[in-house]
Amino acid sequence: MARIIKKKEHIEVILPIGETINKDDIEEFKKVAKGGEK
Amino acid sequence: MSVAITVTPEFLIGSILRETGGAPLSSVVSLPIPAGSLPVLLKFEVPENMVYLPVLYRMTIAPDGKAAIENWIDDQRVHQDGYVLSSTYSEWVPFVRYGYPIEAHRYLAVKVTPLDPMTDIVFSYWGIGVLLPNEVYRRVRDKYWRAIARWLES
Repeated sequence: MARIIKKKEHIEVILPIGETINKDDIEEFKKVAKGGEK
Repeated sequence: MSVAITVTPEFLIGSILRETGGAPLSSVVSLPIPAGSLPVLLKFEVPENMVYLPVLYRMTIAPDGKAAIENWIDDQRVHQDGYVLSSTYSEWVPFVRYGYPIEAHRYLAVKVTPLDPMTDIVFSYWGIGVLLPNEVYRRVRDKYWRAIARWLES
């Protein structure tokens, strides 16, 4: 599962190496990227 | 940035695996980035007591947008040749050329800055490398660097 952190200059998407992001991660990321807070 | 690859990823990975006895590991991430998004720092975290040796990576975006790409380690840009990735770009690039083993709790990262505020893009990253326990890396470090040197000379 990815950790998604919104910072002032960018959005961080953090996941353990070798893992991929799942559908829920992508939905959460889209929310944050469109202006939502996390 | 454009680098000619004369060996296959499988060849290179096989060479380093023979030197290290480590396990190959690939990272494949496909991330839809909506139009107008802030830049995205996609971080791959290395687990406790492990070392990751990044070898090759390949990135694409789709469908027709453009994005500026930089390679980072933790919060530091690794090298200065950031470049613009378009949907036509598809090439394996040797990360190993930069020689950055990444230790436990650190991050291999790619910063993606969308350049067209009106276009949704999908950023895809494929990375191939070797994940080793700390103590194994310490033992085979010299062999690893020799494998890199041989490859770069080939």
